[in-house]
Amino acid sequence: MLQIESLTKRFSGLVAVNDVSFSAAKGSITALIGPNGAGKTTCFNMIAGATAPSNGRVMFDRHDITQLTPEKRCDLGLSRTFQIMRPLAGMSVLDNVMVGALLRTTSLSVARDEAREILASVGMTSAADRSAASLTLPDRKMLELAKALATKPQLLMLDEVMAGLRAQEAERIVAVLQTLRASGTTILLIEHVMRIVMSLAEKIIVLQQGEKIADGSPPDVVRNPRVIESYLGRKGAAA
Amino acid sequence: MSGSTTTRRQVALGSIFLLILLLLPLVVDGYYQTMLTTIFITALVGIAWNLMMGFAGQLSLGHALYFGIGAYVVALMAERYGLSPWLGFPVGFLVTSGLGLVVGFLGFRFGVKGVYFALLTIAFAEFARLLFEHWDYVGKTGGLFLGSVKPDNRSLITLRGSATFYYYAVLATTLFAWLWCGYLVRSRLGYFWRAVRDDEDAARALGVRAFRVNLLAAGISAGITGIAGGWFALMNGNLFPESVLGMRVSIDFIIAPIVGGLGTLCGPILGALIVVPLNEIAKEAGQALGLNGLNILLYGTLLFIVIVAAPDGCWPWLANRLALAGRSSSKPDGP
Ligand SMILES: Nc1ncnc2c1ncn2[C@@H]1O[C@H](COP(=O)(O)OP(=O)(O)OP(=O)(O)O)[C@@H](O)[C@H]1O
Ligand SMILES: [Mg+2]
Repeated sequence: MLQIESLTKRFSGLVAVNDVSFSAAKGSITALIGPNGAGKTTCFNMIAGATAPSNGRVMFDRHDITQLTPEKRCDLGLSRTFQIMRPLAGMSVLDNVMVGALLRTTSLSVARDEAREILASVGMTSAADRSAASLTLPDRKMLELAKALATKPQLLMLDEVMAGLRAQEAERIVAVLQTLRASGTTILLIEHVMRIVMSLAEKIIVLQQGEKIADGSPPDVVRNPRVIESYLGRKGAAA
Repeated sequence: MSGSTTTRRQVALGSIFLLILLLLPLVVDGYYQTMLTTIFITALVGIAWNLMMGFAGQLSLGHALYFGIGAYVVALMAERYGLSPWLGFPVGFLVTSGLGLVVGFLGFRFGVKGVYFALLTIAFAEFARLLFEHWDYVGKTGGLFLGSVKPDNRSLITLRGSATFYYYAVLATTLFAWLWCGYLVRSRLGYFWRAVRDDEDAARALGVRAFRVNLLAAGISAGITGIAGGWFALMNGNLFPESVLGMRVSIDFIIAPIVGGLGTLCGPILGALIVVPLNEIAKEAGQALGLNGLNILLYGTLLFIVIVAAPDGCWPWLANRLALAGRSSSKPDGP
């Protein structure tokens, strides 16, 4: 479904992502993990088209999409959330989600119905008419997810949507993701909560200082000495 | 209050307002009819400008470009070629919306945003003013004059006539533009406009074709402004580059929608109702007192008061008072 080849991003002097390649199979959940500043979000931005790579290619459904605009990629079925949430602050929650739904339909009433359904699935029905600017942090996270879902993605990319959520809210998202996977949606997620990563992902990719240091099934990755040393070990020590 | 009751109130009060406007020429003389027509023209440009600024989030400080070119196109076609403004208006609309697309294209294609986009729009307008001030064909700084209306004039053909004729004609145009814009901002396109206004990158991540959506706002806004310019030309009978293409014109036109409320459909109308009479009073007072520029001082004061007292503009405040506001939490996108 998704294949990235030798992606590299240099910011004046700093190599944020260095020659990273990996793939995500259709209908699977792939997790991208790594310490702060490892280059995960930068990777996402290159896949979604928000940042142009210095080097490398992004293949989606066997097509090279490296040169396409973000809106074109979304049209092709690739949707993302932003780590730093970006609600459309002058609009209501429902209208936010409708913008995403209107990508696939020209009918406002169809889009409105779909948006309501999606809001219900993430438990935000009661917030539908509120201003997106007035939401609490967990609700903003949910709104990010709802907006991305509204575009009916084939590949859904989630940048730390569960960070800062209470266990119960995170569980709700986990349930949504499991349903999506069952319906054939491919998911790529950045997540720090290892418990969630281990329970959801078929495949884990570990980045550290812009380089990929591991790529494999969850059990393999957590046994990898480099991963333990650079990421899990440190987290373990901190906990 | 339930949604349908609010809607009914909106329709009822809107109809009463329109009815008053329709009957007003029966009781006020030509002087006030002309002033009201100026209010309509100001509201018309305000609605157009607000479409770009309030709904699509693009700051244009050069709308005089479209107003002036629209005015000159209609006037030149009528005066030099004897063509009816019925033809002049469509041509004016096409030319000015085309110009809006060109300015928008240059801005959006090369990522010129915010203040820099505003500077770009000023540059275009000023360039046009300078060009017209040195161009023989349009009469240079000496201006362009429409011949006086003939005795056997048929207003419905020449679109020229009495103060009362312009009153109804511009009222109809403004009403039409208001309805059109109201339809647009509630449409799919309107959702996309508000999305790019709030956060262009987030909107693009949701598949909104920001470039095209932005261009449409610029083109439609410019075209409507051109039509307003055309009516100004016919009504005024004379045009000078400074009086229709000047920087002052661009600034004058954005006061009303800001005072009335950005991103609202009725704001520009209410704003024009406040700003134009005030301007008129200030001009007269200025002349009487020998204080030139008193109106500018007044504009400044008025803007200051509005920004402090009602930062969303007067319309959202008034709509609340009249219990016309819809869902109270969302932005005042209501009529
Ligand atoms: N636009 C930018 N300009 C310059 N440097 C940047 C830019 N964006 C990111 N960086 C740098 O690139 C590196 C990788 O950042 P990135 O946001 O991709 O990390 P991350 O893995 O998502 O971290 P986190 O877990 O904190 O979200 C960091 O050192 C960051 O400071
Ligand atoms: Mg990040």
